[in-house]
Amino acid sequence: MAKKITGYIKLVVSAGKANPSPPIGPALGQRGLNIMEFCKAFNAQTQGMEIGMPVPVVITVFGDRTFTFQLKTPPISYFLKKAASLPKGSATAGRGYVGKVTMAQVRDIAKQKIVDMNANDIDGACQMIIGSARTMGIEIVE
Amino acid sequence: MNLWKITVNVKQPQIVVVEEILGYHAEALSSYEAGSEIDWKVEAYFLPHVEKNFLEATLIAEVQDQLKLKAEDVFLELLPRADWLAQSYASFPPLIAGRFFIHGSHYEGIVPKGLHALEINAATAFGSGEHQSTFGCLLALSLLSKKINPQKILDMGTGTGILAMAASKLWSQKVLAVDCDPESIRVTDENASLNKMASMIDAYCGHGYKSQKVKGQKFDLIIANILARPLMQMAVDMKKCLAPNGFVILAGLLGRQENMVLYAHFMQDLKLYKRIRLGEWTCLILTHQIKASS
Repeated sequence: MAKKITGYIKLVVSAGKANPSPPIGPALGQRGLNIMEFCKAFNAQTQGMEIGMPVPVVITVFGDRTFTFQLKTPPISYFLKKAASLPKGSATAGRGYVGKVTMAQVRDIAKQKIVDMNANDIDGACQMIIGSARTMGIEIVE
Repeated sequence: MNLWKITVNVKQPQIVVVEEILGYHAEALSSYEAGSEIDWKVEAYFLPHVEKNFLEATLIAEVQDQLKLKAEDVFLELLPRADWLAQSYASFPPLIAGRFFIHGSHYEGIVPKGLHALEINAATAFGSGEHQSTFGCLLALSLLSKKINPQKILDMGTGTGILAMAASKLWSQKVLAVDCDPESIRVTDENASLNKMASMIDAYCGHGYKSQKVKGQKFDLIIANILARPLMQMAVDMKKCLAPNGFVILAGLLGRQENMVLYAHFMQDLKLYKRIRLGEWTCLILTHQIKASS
């Protein structure tokens, strides 16, 4: 059918937990999209994921207010905190470490994230993840 | 929960810059056409605990500085707490298109007498009935309802299945609903069940008139709400699937594309029976029959 794109919405939603409250409600509601239809479709597509995992999603809006959406991988910070078993990163990065992850864990994160990263290969992705770890106060160990 | 919202009026290529500046702190970003293909708006939503001063002095100032925007092109407002779900439902009122009454699942009112009700939710496949191309097809089907009595019907590019179901309601015939997008087929099946028409809609995932279920068949009515270029490219194959005296409804084309689509089909010995113009969109009814008029 005559699919003319009229807009995009980008947001982060917890896997399996989409509901009409902010940010979904206002972001979709202000654009006149059917909030419940998005929530149902998102929760169905993320049902195999870990509940509550932050999932970036890009919604493409068409002329008749129908839509498609694409799920992205969670932010690097999510993977790093999970690997280091931390509730949050350091508030004073650069002044000591709050946790550590191994290079094997970094490579594992790189394999999951590389589809959404501007990296040529796994090694390049690892370097970016190591950079993120540093800003979060997470030490990389062998 | 209240929310802060920053709205920025930009040209389409500037969107990425605004998103880069606002994206890190925003809960959600929305960008959309505002009047023309080049003029867009970006909206960024922030939680209420984010300080107003930070939004104004840091984020808005950065956007204005980088893009050299006027003050009136970037503004901050506090969105009051609202029942977004109720507002969302309210923005989808029932729609009357020819002989059809289109409504979402949230509608609990009555269906006007003499109209065929179709329950369609604007979701992950195209075809809510609201777009002028779909609306035009519903009018075209209504127009043909008293004139023809098709036994075999094909909906090519079915989307939500709305037109397949509409045709099935009019003539009480089974309709073959084809789309190359598996998601559309899933949604069509879902909508057919929702409307208690599962046995009447044969949703099939395939590519055009050469797909297995379509090739070699002759249809009395073909509905194709796609886009101008694919319609032209498929004209030869479409004609092979059209029964003698058959009718075809073509939509998804803009008024300025009308002549080229018509020409491609005139080359296949089809004649214009009727055109329906809605805004910038045109819907064409063509036929094999000799006595046709525009």
